[in-house]
Amino acid sequence: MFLRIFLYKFRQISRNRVLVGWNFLFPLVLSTAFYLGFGNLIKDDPDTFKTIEAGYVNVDQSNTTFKEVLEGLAEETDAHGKIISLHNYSSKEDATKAMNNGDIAGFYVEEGYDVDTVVPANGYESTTLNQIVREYDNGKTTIENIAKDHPENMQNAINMMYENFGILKQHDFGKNTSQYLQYFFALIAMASLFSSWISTNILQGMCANLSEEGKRFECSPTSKMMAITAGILAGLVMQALANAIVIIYIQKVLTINMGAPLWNLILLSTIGSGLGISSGVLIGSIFKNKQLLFAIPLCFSMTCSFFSGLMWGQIKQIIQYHCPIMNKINPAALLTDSMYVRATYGATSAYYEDITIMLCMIAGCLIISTFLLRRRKYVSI
Amino acid sequence: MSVYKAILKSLRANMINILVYFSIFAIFGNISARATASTTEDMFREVVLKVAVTDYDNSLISQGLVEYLDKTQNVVDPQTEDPIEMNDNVRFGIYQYALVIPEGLSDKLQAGETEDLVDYIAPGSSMSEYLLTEKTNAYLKDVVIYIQNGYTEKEAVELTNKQMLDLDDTKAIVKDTSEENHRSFYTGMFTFNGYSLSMALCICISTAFIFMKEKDVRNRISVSGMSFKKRNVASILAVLSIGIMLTAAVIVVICIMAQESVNGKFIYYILDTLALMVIGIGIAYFISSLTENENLINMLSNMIILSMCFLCGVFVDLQFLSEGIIKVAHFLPLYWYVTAIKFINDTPINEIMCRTFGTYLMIQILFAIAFFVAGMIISKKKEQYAV
Repeated sequence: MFLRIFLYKFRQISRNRVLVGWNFLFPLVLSTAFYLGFGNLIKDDPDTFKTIEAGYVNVDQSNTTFKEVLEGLAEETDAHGKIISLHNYSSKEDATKAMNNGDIAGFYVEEGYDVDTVVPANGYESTTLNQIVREYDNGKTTIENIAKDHPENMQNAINMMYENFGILKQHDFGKNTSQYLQYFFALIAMASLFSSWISTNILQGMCANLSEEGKRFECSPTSKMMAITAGILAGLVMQALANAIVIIYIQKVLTINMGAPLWNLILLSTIGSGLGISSGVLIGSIFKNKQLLFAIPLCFSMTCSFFSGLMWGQIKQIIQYHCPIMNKINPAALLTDSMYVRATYGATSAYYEDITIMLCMIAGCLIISTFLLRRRKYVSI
Repeated sequence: MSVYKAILKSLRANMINILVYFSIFAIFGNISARATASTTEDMFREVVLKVAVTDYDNSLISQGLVEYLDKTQNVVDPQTEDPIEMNDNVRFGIYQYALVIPEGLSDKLQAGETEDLVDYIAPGSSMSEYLLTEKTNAYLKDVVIYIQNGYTEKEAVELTNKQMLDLDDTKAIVKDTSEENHRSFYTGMFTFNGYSLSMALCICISTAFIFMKEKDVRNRISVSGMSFKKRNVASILAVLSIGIMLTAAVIVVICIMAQESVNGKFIYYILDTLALMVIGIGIAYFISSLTENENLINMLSNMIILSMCFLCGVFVDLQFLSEGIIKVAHFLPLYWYVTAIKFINDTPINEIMCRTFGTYLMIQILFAIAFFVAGMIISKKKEQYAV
């Protein structure tokens, strides 16, 4: 009997065009849209440092220390990559023309002891070009101060000034997961929570006060517990399959490397589907109105997805910064976080913590639903 | 008049949808427009970064460094001591750089050690990473040079702080040649409008169309004394009224939000939005010809409009899209809506009303006609085969 109900429910769900559309087709379309929008940015991060095209005009036409500094920055060394690409111009007019054409991001004009930086607009490139002049001026001031206060140490100071100091060291976390992957993780979380519709749909067919089918079911001599379990499992299998297809589509067809092993992502999304299904069962056992059984799962899944970063990638981290507890009670944020942590840092304690909370949530929803659904009596149907 | 009124009344069922899309527009459109708006500049302003500093050393040197960063950058509390959480905060832009000053830094610097002493967390190799690393390294290098050449720790920190802050006077000269704003607030709002108005139009007008197809409604209208011509004129006017009402509402929202950044190009943005309205009605007619199920209409509208928004530069600026995608986007109406907005933004006001702008509007109207024709063909075939 269990297998029969399971198969019937599976067929019933797979024939529901709205469910198939929202739970399976919509994530596929949205992931394609995300790929079209962010695919480029995931593969080639726009924030990555790129060599700045800089112009140089020496009014006096002589070799200067500043020019040596610029030439040093234009070479790739052990201490740094190629910071600037230097273009020499004979006059300010030529350099301005090149800047207005977009050939260079700005230019330096050296006249006597003065160096001016000319840029077309404010921004990172302009600040970086200006920073080079600031560091040059700063070096001169340091040497001047030492020459004034401790002239005996002048040579030592000059030698030190030419040395490369690597006082700072970047913390290495191993992997560098793109922030735009967050949207794909949140999308999988949304698809998983959409499964709450499946369970409200299943419950509609099993509650006498909600449908004709429910009346027949409730007066049949079948074990309710077994039938509901079979229905829930059918929904879980359906959603897990749909999620697996979406994940495989993202990884293999769209060729976006999500950072974690495929089986691991599928496993996590299956737990997410369980979360969606169990929350749907809880919603279905609390609310008796047909319209609410559609509206509440929709509001629930969209609100959770929004706060997990589906529409605004930063939101989950903003919540983490200001009110971390919210991320621990939001099922979509938990699923998104577990995928992100697995992809970036591996199977750490935070990853297992997320999984444990999700499993506890599933158990909690199902236990409460069991109490709400058992021994129902209807005054009037 | 009764047909006209009935269609308008059918709009009541979509009030929640309309409110949702208007709220999305008012909140997210506003946020994104304000974030991307930039004006013509004539003065150099250094990029100021959000830096989270954790000072475990608490020495004169580390305090001096924190003071210098506080005066030149935006120093914030990291809220955590866990490097992983700091990395997440940096990666998702809560702050752009995290500096962890270890205990014993001062002693090591005074002893002449200069390699890998201070940890920092930054999003890969970026401009912000380069800038902050350079500034911090330059500061500490100065302190070390002073200490190693006869100055006390206190003198070294004081001198370094003073000369570093004096460097603020070294400013670049900005020669901004753009006529007006780089990207106005209007451009941001109207670009986002490509999503919200299209969605609201698609859902409201599609449901109005399927309301007209309902068996009961159709039968009641058929038995009334109203002529076929009158009925159709009333239906067309009602649909147009819904379109104009929604478009007007969007324009009013933008007017209210853009009070500080008013410019004379507003009328051209309105023209482009009216073209978008025609596209929205076209797509709505096309969708309503495919299905009469409200859930499916909602789903199809989401799929079509969301995909177009990602492809055509509504959510992600066109400069970040690959060439192949931009080529494909040429075959979609929202691309021309966004291109027209860009054109209005970049062109001096007296040169906007030209052939190029007219072409953009015309292409949008042609797309709308194409959607209408496709919808009519589908409806006809469905009727023919009784689908």
